Amino acid sequence: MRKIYLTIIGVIILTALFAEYPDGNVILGRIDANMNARTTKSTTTMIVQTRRATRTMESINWSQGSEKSFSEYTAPARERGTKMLKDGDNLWIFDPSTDRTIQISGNMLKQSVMGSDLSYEDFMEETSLRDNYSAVVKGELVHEGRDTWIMELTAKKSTTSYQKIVLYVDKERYVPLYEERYAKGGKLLKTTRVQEVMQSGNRWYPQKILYKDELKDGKGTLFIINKIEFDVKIPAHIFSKASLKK
Amino acid sequence: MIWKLAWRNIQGAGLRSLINIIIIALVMIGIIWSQGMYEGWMRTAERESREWLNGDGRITHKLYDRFDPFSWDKSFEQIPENIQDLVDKGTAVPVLITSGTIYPEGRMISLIVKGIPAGQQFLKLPTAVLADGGDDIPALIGSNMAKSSHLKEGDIVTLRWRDMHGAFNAADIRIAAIMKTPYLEADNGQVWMDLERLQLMKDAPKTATFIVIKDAGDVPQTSDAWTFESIDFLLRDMHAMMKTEKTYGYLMFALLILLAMIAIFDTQVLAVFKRRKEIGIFAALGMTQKQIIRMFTAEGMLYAVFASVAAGILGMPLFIYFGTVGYRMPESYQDFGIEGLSEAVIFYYTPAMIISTVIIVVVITAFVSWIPTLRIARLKPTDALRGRMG
Amino acid sequence: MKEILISTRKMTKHYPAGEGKFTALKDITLDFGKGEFTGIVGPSGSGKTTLLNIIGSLDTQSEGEVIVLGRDISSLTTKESAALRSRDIGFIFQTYNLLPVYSVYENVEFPLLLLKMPEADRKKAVTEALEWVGLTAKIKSRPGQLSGGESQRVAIARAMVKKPHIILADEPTANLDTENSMNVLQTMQNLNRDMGTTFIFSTHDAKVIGFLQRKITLVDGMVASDEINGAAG
Ligand SMILES: Nc1ncnc2c1ncn2[C@@H]1O[C@H](COP(=O)(O)OP(=O)(O)O)[C@@H](O)[C@H]1O
Ligand SMILES: [Mg+2]
Repeated sequence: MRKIYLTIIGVIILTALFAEYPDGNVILGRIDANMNARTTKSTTTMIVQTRRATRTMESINWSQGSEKSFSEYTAPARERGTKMLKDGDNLWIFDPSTDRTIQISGNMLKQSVMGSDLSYEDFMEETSLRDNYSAVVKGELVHEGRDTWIMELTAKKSTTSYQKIVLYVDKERYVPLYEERYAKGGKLLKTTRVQEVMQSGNRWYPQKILYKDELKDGKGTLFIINKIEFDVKIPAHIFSKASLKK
Repeated sequence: MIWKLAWRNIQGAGLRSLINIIIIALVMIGIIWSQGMYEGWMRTAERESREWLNGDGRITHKLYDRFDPFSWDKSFEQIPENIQDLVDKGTAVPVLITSGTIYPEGRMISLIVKGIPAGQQFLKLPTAVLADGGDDIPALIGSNMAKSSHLKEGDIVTLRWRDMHGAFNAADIRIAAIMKTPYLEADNGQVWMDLERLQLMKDAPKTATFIVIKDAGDVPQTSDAWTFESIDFLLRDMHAMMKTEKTYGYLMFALLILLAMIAIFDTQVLAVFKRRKEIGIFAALGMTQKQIIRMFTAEGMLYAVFASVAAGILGMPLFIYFGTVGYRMPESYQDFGIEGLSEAVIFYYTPAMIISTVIIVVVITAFVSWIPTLRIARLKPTDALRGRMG
Repeated sequence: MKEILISTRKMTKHYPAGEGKFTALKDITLDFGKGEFTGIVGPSGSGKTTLLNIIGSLDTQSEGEVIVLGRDISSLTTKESAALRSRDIGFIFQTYNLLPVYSVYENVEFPLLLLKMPEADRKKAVTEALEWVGLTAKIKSRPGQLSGGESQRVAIARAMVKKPHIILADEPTANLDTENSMNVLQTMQNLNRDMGTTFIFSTHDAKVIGFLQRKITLVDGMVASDEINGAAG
């Protein structure tokens, strides 16, 4: 019996020694570098698949760092002209049917954006993984034909919304292909699945992403980037409240 | 003498008098009835509020704003020691509030999570069901909440909340009981669980958002973070609503009084016109104009006096019925979420309300019956006798 | 010489008529003594009613002087004239003028109520008065249930119940048939004889003439003749 135990322990130690995984935090830095740009301009399609219906919405978006973003919905007709401005901790929405701008705050932040699996809160999340999490590579996996690292991220501060995140990161392209966000107690809350990836210059970027609130029914929300430009020049007035009403 | 003659005239006028008396009596019954309703409604709502949630007032965290869920994440603090003493004595009940989201059958519903000691005694909430259930988290909801969220007793549902630092957390809760409470503020859009459990879930031990006090007389001094809210303060919205409701009620009855008075006025104008020959006879027999005017006015006033008696007699069964059995709003109204309407409202009458109604109606009636008689003063007895107006 | 209860001196009454005025009575100078049973006769429109109304202080003259029971009618306040009517003058009208909503008893009782007579005295007086006119059986009836003759007898009872000095009767028989007229006249005459009440009444009814002690004829508002009936004197 003793021999068997020793053998098992030996094998485990050996495996651990040979599994020379890279430093998770370094990978987080590479991901941030790949995913975050100084500015972006994109056109996107959002497909919300609820139990009852599927809704497709199109928008043009501008962003600057993780601080500022501005979106204008172009389709469907009902949502056309709806605009959303994020500036730091503030979020405003302009509704053309009432010709009113409202600031989203309090309980409204918990509501979903146009019925999708994303809440306004999710829009307000910080985007830098490196700053907020420390990561450990737990293993590797071939995910949908790509070699990935399995990484476990733990929040550095107790104030971070998701205290634990699991990522499958493309070893070559540094795109997180699959993401699980957990509650503090360990319950899975949200998943993100990158279905297609595209290349822009020398950066790889997710093109089709499926967001899913795991507590909610439905097939999730599909987010498609039709066109994206990085580090373009964006006039400052885009990120002003005045542009909501235009 | 004048009253005797007036009474004779009223008797003599028979049916016409009876109709006038009944109209005024109905108006009086209506006024007293509706005042009794408002008073009873207010008392019911106030009693419910005291019994179910507000006690004799509460000590509330200064930052708490019940209409702003954003404030809930900041508006709690450790229960001060001297108040904890009251809690230990059983004369205070701490409540901790946080916002959360539940996912019954995959739908998403934002709600208020309220923590209250399972062992508390003096609020009517059946909190005993919240006592530790081992692995699962027992929760209590009201029947309205059950209806709107389609939750049944025994259902297990995922609750997501943020702890006091801001991190998301989620756990399954079990609907241990569905309570029928008339006090909607303890029902709509909320779920109750054990205080200690919620403190743990929020990672905020020994804290509360407000502490319900059993006796406003022994509220101890607290730090600046807390403020005492009297029951009147807590009921201010209801009082304000009641005031508008009452105003509308009064307006309606002012209208009814007006109609009744138009009837009286009409009767009087007609009487002065139709009875001008009679007025001539009265004059010929030696009545002064003043006496004649007083007699006509007295007739009108007697209507009101008899109407008061009639209102007492006719209205008594109605008043007693609503004062004992009370009135239940139709179910459809209960969904409006107006406090004090989900259980039968027992009408409540005060002497002041009855006396003021009688006085107002009698005075107004007297005035209205007096105005038309002013024509009598301009009437010459000889013209009156010939059946002509002056 | 009999005691004079009523006297008029050059009394004239104008009524406003369109732009100008109409003279209903002109220069009436008359005296009426205590216990007289006097008729004022004359065609319709000759001013009989007007004269009675002024004597009864229901109206005032335009010119001249009217003294009733020692008081100048034109100087009385409305309250004083009402008091005079209620105490000292009884009225009887052609159309009876009973109070329709009151019973016979209540009609007769009414003047006594105005005098604030105590209940027991009232009852006695009313019963007596109704006995006088022979209507005790109809005590509870309403005026609408009475015949013309009965109604006028109730009116007589009402006029006499307070035992006034003067009863003024304006064509009391004009609406009655011969039998009832006679009955009413007889009642008034008995009253005049037994209680000494002064009666002045207007009439243009020929049957009445025989009952009169004194007959004053008015024509166009002026006294045409003033005769004492010898037989009755
Ligand atoms: N109030 C009045 N206004 C105007 N004219 C009147 C009034 N009363 C009576 N007259 C007129 O005065 C006259 C006398 O009327 P009256 O005294 O009633 O007469 P009689 O009683 O003899 O029929 C009549 O021409 C009548 O039209
Ligand atoms: Mg006449």
